[in-house]
Amino acid sequence: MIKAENLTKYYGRRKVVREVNFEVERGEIVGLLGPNGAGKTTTMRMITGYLNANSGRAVVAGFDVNENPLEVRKRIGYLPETVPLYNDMTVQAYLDFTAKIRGVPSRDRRRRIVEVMEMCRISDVAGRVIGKLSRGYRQRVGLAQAIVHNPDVIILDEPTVGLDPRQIIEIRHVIRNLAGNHSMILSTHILQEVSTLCDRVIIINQGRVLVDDTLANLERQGQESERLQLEVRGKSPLVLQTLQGLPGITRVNLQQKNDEEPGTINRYTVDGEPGGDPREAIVAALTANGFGLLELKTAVPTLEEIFVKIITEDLPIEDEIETKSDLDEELDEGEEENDEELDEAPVASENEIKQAPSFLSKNKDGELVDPDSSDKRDSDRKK
Amino acid sequence: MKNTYYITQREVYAYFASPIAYVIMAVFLVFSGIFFYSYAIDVQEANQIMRSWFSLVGFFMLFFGSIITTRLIAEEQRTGTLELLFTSPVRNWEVVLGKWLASMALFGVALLFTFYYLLILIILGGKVDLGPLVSGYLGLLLEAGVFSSIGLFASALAFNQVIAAVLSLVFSLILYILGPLVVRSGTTDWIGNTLNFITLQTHMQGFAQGVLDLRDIIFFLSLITLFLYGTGQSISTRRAA
Repeated sequence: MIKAENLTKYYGRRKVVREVNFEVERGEIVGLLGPNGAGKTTTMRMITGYLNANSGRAVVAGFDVNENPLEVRKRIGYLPETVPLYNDMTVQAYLDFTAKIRGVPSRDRRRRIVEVMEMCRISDVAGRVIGKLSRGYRQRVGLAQAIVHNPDVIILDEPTVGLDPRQIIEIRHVIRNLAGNHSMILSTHILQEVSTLCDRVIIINQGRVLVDDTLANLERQGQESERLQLEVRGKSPLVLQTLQGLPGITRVNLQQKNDEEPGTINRYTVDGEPGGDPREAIVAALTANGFGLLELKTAVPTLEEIFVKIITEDLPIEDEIETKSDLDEELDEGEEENDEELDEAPVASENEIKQAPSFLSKNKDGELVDPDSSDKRDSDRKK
Repeated sequence: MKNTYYITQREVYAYFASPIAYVIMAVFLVFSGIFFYSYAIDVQEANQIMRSWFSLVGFFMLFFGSIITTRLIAEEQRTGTLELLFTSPVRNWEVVLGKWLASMALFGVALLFTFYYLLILIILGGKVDLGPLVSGYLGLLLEAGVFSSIGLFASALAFNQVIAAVLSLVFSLILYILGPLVVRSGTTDWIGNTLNFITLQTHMQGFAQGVLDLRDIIFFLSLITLFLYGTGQSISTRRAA
């Protein structure tokens, strides 16, 4: 449905999108993930035809965006990051206008507007002026305009940014209901969103695609070994000794050390050999030695950890300056698109990259993560 | 073409949904009323009154045109709705033309109110000829069209309302008085002639006098086309950058 072939975009002399390639099938929801300034918005704008690519091409529903812009636009519903609302119009009038310019035939228009207002749960504000609506409503009105013409392709740029948790859940609900009939690209930097909504993830950093994979695969890759978390009552040296003596266990870490009172409780992480399952052995050994096992759970690295790891391992790109005419640069300066410029993309030096594991080395539970295993995963990921 | 109509419709809606249209039209009518009054008490002949009034109001259109058009594109750029228009199956020129027509509609409404002056003249027994009247109003509309298209062009160039307003005012003013400004009267060399020819004032006098000249009409229409085309090009260039 959507195909990006070597899409490349310069802002002045900076290459903000570098030969991006990906495809989105019919009915698929793809999450475009990346830090701020990674090139997500620019990529989306090139697919919608709002910006022209400097090289490469985008094909939507079989139409080249440059050659057949109108055909492409008929089939795309787009919610930009700044929701394009006319503050002086009522919700109903606004949707009527957007339906008209999207070519919804007049006999279907009224019905369709009522439909999308219901889908996006904005029927109760149909007659209100958009400028006076709360952020959550505005965002949903924006979503309604993107789907009013029932497009094959829906492109949403950070649809939940700046909303409160309840509004986020509502928007996600709406988006999930849209899935199935529409191909969707959804950009975000909230990882939870991806895991709740998307079939597939494309991680972009510094204008390049780093990862293009299903969520399940990504999570599997992130899982370097079988890791367990334990909470055990008993003196820590003895517990450690017991655990380390078990077969199939490669590493044991004590997290909080607290041995002052008798019968104290400590937390441990245990790494087992890949593929093995040492849980039963652990339980048996601990109970046999009279320790109290209070908790035992498998620790799966969160998507967040995987994401941060991938981004921090991405080496900075040498700034290859390719000359473009000054005229283009002048034009760029006028644009108010600072958010999309590659301002603070992680341009880390070699040193910082080496230090990166230390930044990574503690996850939210404070457990230590082995920095060495990253290389192996890095090569896996790049296939 | 249908899209052009939709865009016009929305812009007219926007004009009248905000105080803009009312304030600007009120100001316009106050001034044109004062002009009318000052001529009407001095001059006896009704056609003469309208002639003077047409030429002064024509100049006044310059400010009116700049003010009502500068927001048309700059504002949409600011709020991000330009992104909506240009990712919809609408052509650039449809957007530009639609917006220009909306400003023309506002002019049209404002000019309708000035028929009131005519009514006063007729009620008071003045004899107004239809010919000069038609040519006068046609002239005003064409002038309004030129100033709006300049304003629209400035709006697309500057993408900032204040800068756009200044740009369009300066540009319109220069175009309006170019000849008299730089050419000494009586000069007949080709530079002088050219500058005089592209001066708006030169072409406006005819309409006010009731002389319909096809060349003037074509001159105005080509200026309008030129600036609207420039507006469209300016927008496409930005997107390609």
